[in-house]
Order: sequence, then C-alpha cells, then structure tokens
Amino acid sequence: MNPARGGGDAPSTSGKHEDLETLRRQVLKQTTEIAALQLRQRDLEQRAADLQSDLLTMRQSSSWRLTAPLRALALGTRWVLSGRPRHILLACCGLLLREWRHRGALAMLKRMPHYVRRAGSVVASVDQSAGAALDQPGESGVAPRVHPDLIEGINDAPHIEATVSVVIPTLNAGPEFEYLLRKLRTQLGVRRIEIVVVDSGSTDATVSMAHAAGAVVVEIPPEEFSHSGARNLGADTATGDHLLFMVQDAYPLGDHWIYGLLDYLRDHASEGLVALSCAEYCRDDSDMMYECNIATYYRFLGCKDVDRIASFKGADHESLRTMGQLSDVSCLIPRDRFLQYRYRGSFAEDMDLGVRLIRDGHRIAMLASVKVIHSHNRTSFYYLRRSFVDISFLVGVFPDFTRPRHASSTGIVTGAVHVANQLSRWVPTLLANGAGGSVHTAVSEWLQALRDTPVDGAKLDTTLHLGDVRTEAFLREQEAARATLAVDGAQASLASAQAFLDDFVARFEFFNRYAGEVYPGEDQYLLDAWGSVAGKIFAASLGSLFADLHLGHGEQPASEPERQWLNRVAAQLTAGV
Amino acid sequence: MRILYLTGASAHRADVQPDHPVHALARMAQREGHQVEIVSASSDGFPGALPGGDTTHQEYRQLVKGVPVVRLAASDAQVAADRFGKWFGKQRFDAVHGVFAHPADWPFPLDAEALAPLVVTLSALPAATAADASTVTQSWMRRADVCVVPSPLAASRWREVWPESAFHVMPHGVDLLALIQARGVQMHGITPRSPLTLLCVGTFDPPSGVVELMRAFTTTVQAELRLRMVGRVDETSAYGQEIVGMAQSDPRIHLTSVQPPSGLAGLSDSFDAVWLPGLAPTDFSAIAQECAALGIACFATHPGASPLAEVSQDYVQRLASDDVSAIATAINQWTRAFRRSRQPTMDAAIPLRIEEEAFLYEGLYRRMAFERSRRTSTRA
Repeated sequence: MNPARGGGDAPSTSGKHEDLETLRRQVLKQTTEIAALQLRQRDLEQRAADLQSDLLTMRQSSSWRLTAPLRALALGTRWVLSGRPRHILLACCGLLLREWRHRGALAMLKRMPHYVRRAGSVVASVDQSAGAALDQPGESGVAPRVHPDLIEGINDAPHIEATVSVVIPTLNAGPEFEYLLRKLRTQLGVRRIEIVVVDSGSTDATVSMAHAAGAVVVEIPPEEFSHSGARNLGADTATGDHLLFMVQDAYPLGDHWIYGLLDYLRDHASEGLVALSCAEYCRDDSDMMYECNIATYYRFLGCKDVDRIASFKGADHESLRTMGQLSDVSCLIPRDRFLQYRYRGSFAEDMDLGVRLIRDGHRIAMLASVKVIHSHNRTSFYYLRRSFVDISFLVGVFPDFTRPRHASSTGIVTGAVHVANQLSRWVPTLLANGAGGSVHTAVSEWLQALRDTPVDGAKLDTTLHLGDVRTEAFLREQEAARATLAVDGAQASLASAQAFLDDFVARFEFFNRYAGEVYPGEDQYLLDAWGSVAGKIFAASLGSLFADLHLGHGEQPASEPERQWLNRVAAQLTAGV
Repeated sequence: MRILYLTGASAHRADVQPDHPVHALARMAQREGHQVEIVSASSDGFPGALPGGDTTHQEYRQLVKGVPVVRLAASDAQVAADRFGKWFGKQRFDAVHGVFAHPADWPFPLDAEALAPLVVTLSALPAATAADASTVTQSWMRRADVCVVPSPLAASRWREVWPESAFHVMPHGVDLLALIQARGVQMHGITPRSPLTLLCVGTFDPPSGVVELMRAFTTTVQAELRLRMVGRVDETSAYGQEIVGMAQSDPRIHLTSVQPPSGLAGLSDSFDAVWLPGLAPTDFSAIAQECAALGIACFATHPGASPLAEVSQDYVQRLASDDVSAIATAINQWTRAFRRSRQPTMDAAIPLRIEEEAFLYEGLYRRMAFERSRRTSTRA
C-alpha cells in the first residue's frame, strides 16, 4: 500500500491508469518527434545528394578543367606564402649544420645515401613541429576534429548503438585502478560497455575491485601469462561487438573517450579502417625523458598533432614501423576482425597486429584528437633494459634494420666508464652551483666539453651519480668483466670507446634541443629533471650498445670468454621482459 | 604551440603556484611540448617585468616548477599596461588564454588586436558582477573567441548579459595524482580511522553557518568524533570570538586560523568528510570536486551551497546554514553510514582531471585558430 495515495486498491489502480496514460502521451509525443526528425534527416540526405551531384557536374565541366592550372598555382602560392617552406628549409639547414659540426664534411658525404633515404620522414617531422600543425586545418578548409567532449550538445546526442568490451590484463594494479574502472563505468555515448579483466595472480585487491565494478574477471596463474595470451583470452571471453584493449595504468581522457574512438572508427570504416589506437597524454608525474621520447615517437609516426590513417606503403622497417603501429594502451577493433588475427608473440604484439593488418590491405589509425592519459616515470635501469630489448627485437624482426658493428667490446666498456665518470662529476656540480641562468645552455656547453675530452681509459670513480644504483652496479660488473678479457688493439678500442661517447652525446643533444625549447631558464625543478635525464640517457646508450655487441658477436670472431660474458649480460637484461 | 596564459590576482590564489589552476594548465601544456608563459596581474604593488623589458626587473620573471611566470603590478596600472602592450605586440602566440574569477581581475585593457585565438575562463559564478560594463570587461568579452565557465548555471547567467558571446561549460580539473598521494589512497577502500574527523574548511564569517555547525557538533554525543576547522577567523569580531570560545570549550574541536587552502592536497589525510561553509553563491568549488574524486562526503551550507549543489548534486549535500538540528542529523547519519561501509562506489563520476582539462583546452585552441583563420580568409 502506498500511504501517499491514501491507501486502498481503487485509488492505486486509478493512479496506475493515470501513469499509463501519461506514459502513452509521452510515447506519442516522442514518436511524433522521431517521425519529424526522420523527415528532416531525409531532407538533409536529399540535399547532400543534390550538392554531391552539383559538385560532380562542376568538376566534369570544361571550365573547371581549364582553370585547373590556375587553382594549382593559387594553392602553390598560398603554400609558399604560408611560411611553411621557409620553416622547413630553415629547420633542414639547421639539421645539416648540426650534422656538419658533429661529424664533419667527409663523414657527411659518406652518409649521403642515408640522408637521401631519410629525407622524406625528416621533412614530414619538421613539418609537424610546433606551430605548423596549427596551420594545417585552415589550409584544408576542414575543421580539425576535436574531442567529443568539446562538441556542443554532445550529451543530447544519441548513443552509438554498439557494445564495447574493454579488455585489461592486470597484475597488482594498485590504487589508481579504481579510478580507471570508475571512469570506464561512467563513459557516455555508447550503448553498453563491458569490462573484462584478465588477472595473472594479483595479491592486492585488484580482483575484488574488478568484481565490485561489475567486470568479468578471468584469473590465470602467473606462469601462464603472456601479453598476447592474456589479451586473446580476454577477447575470447568478451561479448561486445568491439574490443578495446587497454592497460591497467591508463586512464580515459574525457567522458566521451570510448565514444570518440568508436565514432572515428565508424566514420572511416568505408575507407577500409579496421582498427585504431590513440596517442598518449602525459600524466602530471611523467619524467622529461618520457615526454621527449613520446613526442619524438609521435612525430615519427606522423600523429603528433593530427589524426593519421595508415596503410601499407612498403616492406622496409621504417614504413612498417610508421604505418603499422597500434598500441596496447588503447586499441579498438571489431571483435570479429580481431578473432581473425589475434595477438601473437611475446613482445610488441600490438605492432605485430598492426603490421599484419596493413599487409592484408586494411587501414589502421592513430588519433591525436582523442588521447589516453598514460605515461611513466621510469628508473635509469629500466631504460638500460628497455633499449637493449628494443634493439634486439627490431634487429630480429626487421631484416633491414641495421645497427653499427663495434670492433672492440672492451672499448665500449671503456667509453661507458669514461662517460660515467664525467657525468658523475658534472651532475653534482650542476645541482650544487646551478646552471648560470639556463639549464639548456649549461648542458650544451658541457656536452661540447665532453666531446673534446679525450677518453683516458681510467677506472670507474669510487662514487657514481647515475641516478640508479642498479645501473651503477651493472657498469661496475662490466668493468670487472673487462679485466678478464683479452685487450683489443688500441685503435679499435679507442674507436669503440668514441662510439659510446658519440652515442651518448647525440642522445643528450637531441633531448637538450627538445627540452630547451619547452623549458627555458633554470630552477631547482629543471636542474633535478635534467640531472635525472642525464643518467637515463646514459643507461639507454649502455643498453643499445650492449645490444649491438650481443647481436654482433655471433658474426665476427670473438673469444669464448667474450661470448659467455655477452650472453650473461643478455640474460640479465632480458630477464622477465 | 606558443601559449600565453593571463591571470588575475584572485583566481583561487594571489600567487601563481603549482596548485594554481593556471599553473596546472601551463605545466601540462609543457608536458605536451608546448612553449608557455604566464603573466599574472598582481595587486600587491609588485614591480613586475616582462622578458626583454627593463633589465633591472628581470628577477621578477621567475620559474615556478619550470613554468615561466611574469608578475605585473596593478598598482602602477598605466606603466604596467604600456609595458605589457609593447611586449605583447612583439610576441607571436598561437593561443592566449585568460583565467579569471571575472574579467575585471585583469586590470589592463587588451588594446592590441591579437592574431591568436583568445580563450577566456571565468572561474566562479558572477552573481551580481556579470553585468559589469567596465572597459576591461567589454574588451575581454568582445574579443574572446570562446568563454569557458564551470557550470551550465554560470553559462546561463553570463549569456543573459552577453548574449552574443560563445560559452562553453567545463569545470576546472582536479590534480588527482597529488590527491591520491596526499590522501594515501589504498586499494581496500578508505582506511578506518579513529576518531572520525570532520573537516570544515573555508572563511568563517557570519552568514556561513559555522557557528551553527559547531553548535550541532557539540550536541552530538559521539566521543569518537572530531571537528577540524581550517580557515580564517576574524578574532576582533563578535562572531569570530564566539567561534574561538566554542572551539576552546569542546576538546573535540581543533581550530587553526589560517588563510583557507584552495585544495585538499595540502591538508594531509586526517579527515573523513568535508564541510564547506557557504558565504557567497558559488557554482564551483575545487574542494567539492576533490571530495568527489576521492569519494569523500561533502556538505555545504546556504547561501553558498545553493548553486553549488544544483550543479554538483551527485556529491554535495546541501544544508540550511541556520538549521542546527538538521546539521546534527546530517552528521549523525554520515557517521553511521561511514562506519557501515567504506567501500568506494564504482558508479560515481570522477571530476575532470587537470590532464583532461589541459587537453580539452588544447582542442579549443586548435578549433578557435581554425575558426579565426576561416573568418580571416572569408573576409579576404
């Protein structure tokens, strides 16, 4: 009995009749509105068809064909006047000047074929640099696509009639996992969102939290985990018509994040688009090294500021890596399409999927208009391991991905020891005395001095400042191992030591240029950040050059102790990856 | 992109510090590789300088956690305006973004016809000041490509006065990572605490209902309950003296008379619910947003709570500031509910994070740049 209605069956029945009548009226009203909207939709479709027809007629007319050269001239003139060519020319001249200073004229001549091969991607990268992206939308005449949250009236727009299963492999996801689950559950604009968690032995509350969020949870023993296997299992369990692969430390950007991804995929499905990922947006606690790496990477992919749809352009490693890139941080694909391909392999399974898709003639996209919040603040030892694994993977997968050979492995260690000593003496001084107004300038000057300092072959200093005791311990181990190996010729040893120095300087210079543009001046925050990055860059150089040594030693004469040493290093750096 | 941020002295904090909304926007833009500059109008007579300007004042352009901040003195308005105008005229920014409680917070007219798109964020409900027709306000409102306000209510108020301006609704973001760290958020729900602590944070002036809250609190007989009060008390007034007296008479009440903080991150984790005394009508409260992000109960009293609750009804409980009995009931209900379940609710929407806010603004800059270039080419 409902006391508010006075009690008794009759009033209650009467009340229900009233409710029913109200509902009927609402349904009638909404039906009428739907009919009106359908009518309007038909009108608009007819108008679009008429305009399309007019456009076709116009383009087939003789006057249009006759004026084509004039239009091309106008387009060219506008491009020249836009300042873009000047920007590209100046930037390319700057790059060439830096190469000349760094390598000298003779070495540049020798590297000419390399420059020719890279010219296209360098120009594209320069073209995407700061400022240029702003001009692009205006030139094309089409408004830049923006995040759906910025579209007026988006909350009143009809839902996309799709079901999306978000597949997340987890292992001790930590307290931020709650926020990812909450954000996914409150996404707007999509009919149904299912969360599938594939957990491989969490000992914290990851599983109970996933249950609390209504997720479908699949638990597997840790020893059964692989990046491909866990995601495939999640896809098999999912019931949505689309799969959205994520990672446990990502965070959807905006209330219509899934809507934005799905909307783009559907908008471009007729062009052969079958899968997409979106670029990452750095968290507030990301480190500068990550910021620089991710910005460089997206410029390499051509999606720093604009959405990019890619297709198969060639089988060389550069084409495949730029065109075939998907990311596990966020990867949306129709479920039936995914089940035709599935993930495979134990490393870079996302890129492998993208490459297979474009090789089969499909198109994939990387979005900049919609992004996902994700970044890291890694230790230097992580960068050591990561660069070792990355180089090993790329050389293993792409036959045309070549790396330099180093004549002397002990020379590489000598170079690393030299740089570590110099770095460990400079960083504390920088932090204590400051940079004299600009960290960027201070680093430039130090790098110039480092380049001019001859490799002295000294032992490692007692105290190191590489930002991570594990990196320091690793280097001390390699220094100790060097003492047990036969000494290479002095010239070979010096050349390899110099190669290490050059690699470190080139990486740090690249970072310094990037950071110098964004972070002018000096304060404690910047001093700490640059100092930390220096150690990470050192570690990345160390990992890369040890990968070179490990990959190269099988193809050139090496002593048995040297082979054993490099295999031990490889086992240490790839353990658990 | 080169982005210039302009802010007035009263946008949450007088100083541009890392917890200032403009600083958050600027440093997130830096993380995306953009070049940024903040120019802040200071009301304290600070002799500011612009980069490349008077070298004797270079020290007043400082970095705040890596972000360049220039302070301009409002007390010497004409000189500062001239210097700003000259400097601004030489710069090329891809976007200019003003963040104010009200345009009048920026004391200098925007004389230069800047080529860059201009985005204005108005950070609090204008109330009676929306109709302000000062030259500064007019120049901002006429030149802005889009005005961003934190709630639909504020948008409707502004539209009444400036019907031709475009308004977009977007609240300020919360610094979720700093909150999680400060709060020590764990995976097993909210950490049990004894005694439970109710935090009252704000300005403790007569209409805010603080005395009524303290009266209600003293009627609760729960020994395991504390009231922590952080805010400014005018101890020369009768109202302030009453507050101090009541705090001294109940050992469960702890009063700290300081300028109220703009967020929860600096208050450690020693509270379980938040009380926002309402002074003036407001439809945005950074603290209420932070409570929503953390899943902490948030109470607000009239008159300030009225519009706040209207736009944030999911996570703000509104109470009449003069109803001691209702306040006591709310406290008792909350303590019972809190002891019953500490599990976070998975269906509670999370307010915008600063990362999201900064990215969405970047989208607005691009869209406005496009619109502007289209308008320019159409005119040509």
